[in-house]
Amino acid sequence: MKRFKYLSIPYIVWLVILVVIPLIAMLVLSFMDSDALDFSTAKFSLDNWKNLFQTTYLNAFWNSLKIAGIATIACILIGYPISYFVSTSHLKNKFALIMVLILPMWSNQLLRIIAWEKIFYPVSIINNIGLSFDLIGTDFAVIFATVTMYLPFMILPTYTVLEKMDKSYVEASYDLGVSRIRTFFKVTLPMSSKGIMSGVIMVFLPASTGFAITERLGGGKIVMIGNIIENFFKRSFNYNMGSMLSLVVILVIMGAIVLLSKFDKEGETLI
Amino acid sequence: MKKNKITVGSVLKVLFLGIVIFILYLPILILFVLSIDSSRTGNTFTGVTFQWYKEIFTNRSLYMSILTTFAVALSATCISAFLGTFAAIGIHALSKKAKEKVILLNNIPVLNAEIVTGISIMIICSFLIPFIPDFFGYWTMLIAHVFFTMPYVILSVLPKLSELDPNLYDATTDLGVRPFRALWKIVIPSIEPGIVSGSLLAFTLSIDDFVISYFTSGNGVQNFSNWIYVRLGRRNFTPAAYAYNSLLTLVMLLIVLVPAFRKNKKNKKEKN
Repeated sequence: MKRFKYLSIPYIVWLVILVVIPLIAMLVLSFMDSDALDFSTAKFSLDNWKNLFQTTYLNAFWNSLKIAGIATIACILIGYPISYFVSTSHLKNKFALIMVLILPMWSNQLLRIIAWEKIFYPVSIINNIGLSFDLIGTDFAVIFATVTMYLPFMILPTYTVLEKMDKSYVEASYDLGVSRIRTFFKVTLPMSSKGIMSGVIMVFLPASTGFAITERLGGGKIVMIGNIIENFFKRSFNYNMGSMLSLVVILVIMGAIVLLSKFDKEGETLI
Repeated sequence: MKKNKITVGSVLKVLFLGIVIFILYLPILILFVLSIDSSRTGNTFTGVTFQWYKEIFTNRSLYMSILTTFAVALSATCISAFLGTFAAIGIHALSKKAKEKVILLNNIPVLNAEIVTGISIMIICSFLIPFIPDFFGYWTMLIAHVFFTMPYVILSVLPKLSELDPNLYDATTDLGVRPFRALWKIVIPSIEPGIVSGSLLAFTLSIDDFVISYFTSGNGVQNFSNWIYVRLGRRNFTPAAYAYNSLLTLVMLLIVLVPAFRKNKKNKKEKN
C-alpha cells in the first residue's frame, strides 16, 4: 500500500496552510499597532509584548491555571473511581451505565451552563422547591460547573483503559497475597495511567482556555485568559493584543504537545 | 462467581454513582422544567405550557440557526469522513519517521485551544474578504468544522489500518485488480468501523460546537450555540431554545440507550 503515500500530501498542505499562515499572521499582528486586520495604517510596536506582564493578564493566566487545575484534579478524583467501580462491578450492562454517564454531553453545553446559572442565582426557579443559592461570582460555582461539564471526558478514557486491561495481573497479585489496596496502587493504577493522562488533556485544555463558563457564572469577577482574548477579538477589535495573548496560549500548548509526543508516538492517547 | 453481598462499601459505591448521575442530569432536568414553564424569564415556575415547543417552528431566526447547525454538521462530517479516510491511508503509507511527524501536525487542531483554532480560521478567512465579500457564514463555518473534525476521523482510522493485514491488499493487486479498486473493495470495508466511529465523533463535536463557530460565523448566519450566546439576558431570547434542546436530548438518549439495553437483552438470551 506504499503507493498511496501521495494521498497524505493534500492533507499536509491543508494543515500547514490553516495552522502556519494564521500563526505567522498572529506573530506579525502581535508586533504591530493596527486597526484590526488593516495593515495599511499599521505601525511596528513592541507595546503588546510589554503589556503581557500587566497584572490583569497575569491574573487571568493564573485564574485559568488554577480553575482548570482544580477542576481537573476533581475530575480525576470523581471520574477515576467511577470508571474503576463500573469496570470491576459484576453488572451485566456496564456499557449502558457508562453511556448514561456520558450522554449529558449531548445537551447543548451553553444551555447546561445557563441551567447552573439559574440554580446559582438567589432568585431562581429552584425557589419553588424551597432552595436558594447565591454563588454567582465565586470560584466554587465556576469550578463546579467546569467539573460537571468535562467529567465525561475523564470517565470515557479511564473506563476504556480499565476495561481493556489484562485482569490476570490483578488476579496474580491477589494470588500472591498482596492486599487489595496495594494491588490497586502497584498494578491497576500504573496500568491505567495512560487513560488518566488522556483524560487530563481532554479536561484541562478546554477548561483552561474556555470563556463561556466564567462569562456566565463568574459575575464579572472571575476572568480567565479566554475571556480576555474573546474581548480583544470580538468586542474591542484589538487584534494586536489578542494575537499576542493567543500566541502565549499556543506556546504553552505546544510545550504540552511536545511533552505528550514523548510518551505517545502513535497519537492513540487521544481517542 | 460469588453472589453480590450487600456491604457498606457497595452501598457507598452505589450512592456515589447515584449522586454523580444526579448532578450530571440536574442541568438537563432544569432545562426541561424551563421548557414547560410559562414564565418567559425562567426565574419562577408559573405553570405548564407547551407554547415554547410550538415556537420552535415559528421563530424564524431560531429554526434557521438549528438548520444551519445541522447543515454544517452533516456536510462537515461527510467531507471529514471521506477526505479523512484517504488522508489516513496516505499517512499510513508513509515511513515511520514521516508518519510520526504528520501525526504530530494532525494533533495540533485536536490539542489546540478552541479559541485559538477559531481565531486562526477567522484570520485566514478574513484575508479572503476582499475577493469574496460575504464570505463569513456557512462556508467559513464549514471550513472550520472540517478543520477541527478531520483529525478525529484520521485518529480513528489509523489504528484500524495498522490492524489490517498488508498481504490482503497485495494479494488483490497481484490478482490484477487496479489499486484504487482494491482500496475501495478491500481496504475501505475492513477499516469501516474506524470510519464510522470517527464520523460519529466528528458529528458530535460539530453539532455542539460553540467557540469555533462563534469566531467563524458572520453575516447573520449562526448556529444554535451562537444564537443562544448573542441573545443571553436579552429580550429576544426565547425559552423555545430550552424546548428544542430538551427534544434533541431526549431523541439522543433514546437513540443511544435503547440499542445499548437491547444488546444486553440479546446477550442475556444467548447466555440462557
